[in-house]
Amino acid sequence: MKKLLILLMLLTCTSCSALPAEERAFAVALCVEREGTLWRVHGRIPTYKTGGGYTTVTGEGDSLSAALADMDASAPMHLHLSQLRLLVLEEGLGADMSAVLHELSDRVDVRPHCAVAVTDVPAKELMDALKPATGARLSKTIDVLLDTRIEQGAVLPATLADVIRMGERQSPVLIALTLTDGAIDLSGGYGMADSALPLTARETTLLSLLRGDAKTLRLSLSGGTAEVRDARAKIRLSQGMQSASIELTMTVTASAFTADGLEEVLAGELLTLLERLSAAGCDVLGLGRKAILRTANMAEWHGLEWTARLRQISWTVSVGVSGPA
Amino acid sequence: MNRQTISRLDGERRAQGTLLRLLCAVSIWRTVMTRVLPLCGASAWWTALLCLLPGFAVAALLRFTMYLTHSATLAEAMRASIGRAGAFLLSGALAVLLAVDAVSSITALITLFTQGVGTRGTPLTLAALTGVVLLFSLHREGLARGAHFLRFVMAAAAILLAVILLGDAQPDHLFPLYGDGLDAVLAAAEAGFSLAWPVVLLLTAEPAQGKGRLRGAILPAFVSVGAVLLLTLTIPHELLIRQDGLAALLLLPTRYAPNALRVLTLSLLMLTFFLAIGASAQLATDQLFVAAKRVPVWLPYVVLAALFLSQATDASALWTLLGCIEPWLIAPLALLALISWPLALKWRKCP
Repeated sequence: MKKLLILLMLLTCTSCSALPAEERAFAVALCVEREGTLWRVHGRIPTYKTGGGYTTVTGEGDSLSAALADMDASAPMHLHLSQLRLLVLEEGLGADMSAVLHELSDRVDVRPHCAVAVTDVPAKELMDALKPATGARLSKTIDVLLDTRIEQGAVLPATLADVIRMGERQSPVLIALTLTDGAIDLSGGYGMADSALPLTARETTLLSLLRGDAKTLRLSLSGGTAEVRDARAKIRLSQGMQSASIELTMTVTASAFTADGLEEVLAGELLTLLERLSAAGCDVLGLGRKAILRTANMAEWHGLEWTARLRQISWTVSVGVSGPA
Repeated sequence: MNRQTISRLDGERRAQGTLLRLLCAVSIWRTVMTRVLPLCGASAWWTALLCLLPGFAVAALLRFTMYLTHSATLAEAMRASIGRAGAFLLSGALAVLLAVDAVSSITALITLFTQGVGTRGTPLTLAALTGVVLLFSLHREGLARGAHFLRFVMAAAAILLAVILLGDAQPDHLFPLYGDGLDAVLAAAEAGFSLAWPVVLLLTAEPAQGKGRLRGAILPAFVSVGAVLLLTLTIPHELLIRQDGLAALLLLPTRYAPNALRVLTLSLLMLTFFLAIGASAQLATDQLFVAAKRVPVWLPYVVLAALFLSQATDASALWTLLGCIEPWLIAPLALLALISWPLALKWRKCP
């Protein structure tokens, strides 16, 4: 028993030596942008001064890895990304966003559960706006803001791990990040297809409804609002993979519509949104996950040319509501 | 022998059985994760099941030889069927196989330390540290008792990990069922052909009361394959086959996991690897001097020194070399099985 305890103590000591926390600067937010061939990254790190505060470190290079190395060199301590809460991509990265996310996820030190956002705000301005709203910790502010906006349906959950693990089977919807009165605001999204497809907050709420990301939602529809809960969507892909159908059921807790009116308006808005996304080759509901089940190997899957098929797909939407209207 | 002595001996046999089953599980899991999975991705779990067949077939044949010769251990069966040369050949083969397994495991562990977790220190210093820690526990029953003592803790941690990972599981990640196609599956099957050879080790131990030794091998083998199945459920094929490098493959189960889960998994992984290296080194030592009544005191130190020195070479070159050797590990045992059972049948004692 004594030997076992000595063994465990030694193993514990060796693992501790891997993380000298006091020698590292833990970035809370990271922003990636590109200007022509020049890559630029900005990291938001705590100053570790009395009274708190955050500072921004910047790195440049002819590749993302070179820019990250430059940022590491310009930081007062070794920069570590294991506490990263927010990864922001500049809108101009376009089709390269996917490659950036893969490159970052390949790094062992990047926290895979950081939220991934897209912005059109200049990176330096955005980074300076990242301040704790309450208390002293920026990480807590970002976590709370994200949770709140996801619950409201204003954004869809999009962590680096989720986005990467969608693989070729689903298109992620990244969070749209803007500045409102000098403070960060998360509202709407960007569907990842050939290029980033902007989505309004109203559209992300509808997608949240279909994906079941929020328990209760307040829907803003043409002609009024409705509060719904317990939404369930059954998504089906036809045998020939030429059409898809959605059966949405939910309970309405408050609504400006009659039951029939709400069903009609909601079905119409969902259909418009899904057709727009499909036409752009954006598979946000993961129809590809159903399509890949019908293939035996990857060659067959690639032979399907799923994105091209998705552009041609026809949608059928039916909505059923229950509860007081 | 009085009842207390019998009970103590039975307890020691059970502890030894636990250690052997742990070695089985770690060896099979390591081979599937590092050799089979990168070649065939989503089809790794069922390819691994196919790869279990040769090992179990050889073990079943050797068990049949034991039955024919009325032997309690494999060494006795070899002695009864082939003669003393058979017992020596078996010991030599097992010593070599265990040494290869120990080198594979220590290379995996040190690479996980240096390239995966990012521990500061050279592979050699970390290997020396591992060796020093192993010296504390390379007592004859120390490791076995340690493994036996920790079995429920390790099982509980593994179950917790499985439950949390199941939350991220997506059924479509098991598809396409044939991954990159037949060629990839065949290449993976070739790389993992010998992965179940450690099952034979269970036949070398003295039987404990309770379940049969080969039946006892089913749990570790299927737990290893189950762990890979769970991993393929959480990560799609297109990402699985993107992984290159030993460290990336070993880190794959924790790659997208929350930080706390990652720490727990890595701790569990290191502990099991550590116990498996110790078990391989200890058993290799025992097998080297199976004919002698006492194992020389200095031998464990020599084995550990050899393991330490193996890390002085380039890790990727060593791993490539081990990759060339590992598909053939079952061959000497299969050869012995094919020679011994007809002889055992010939010399079979009539009741």
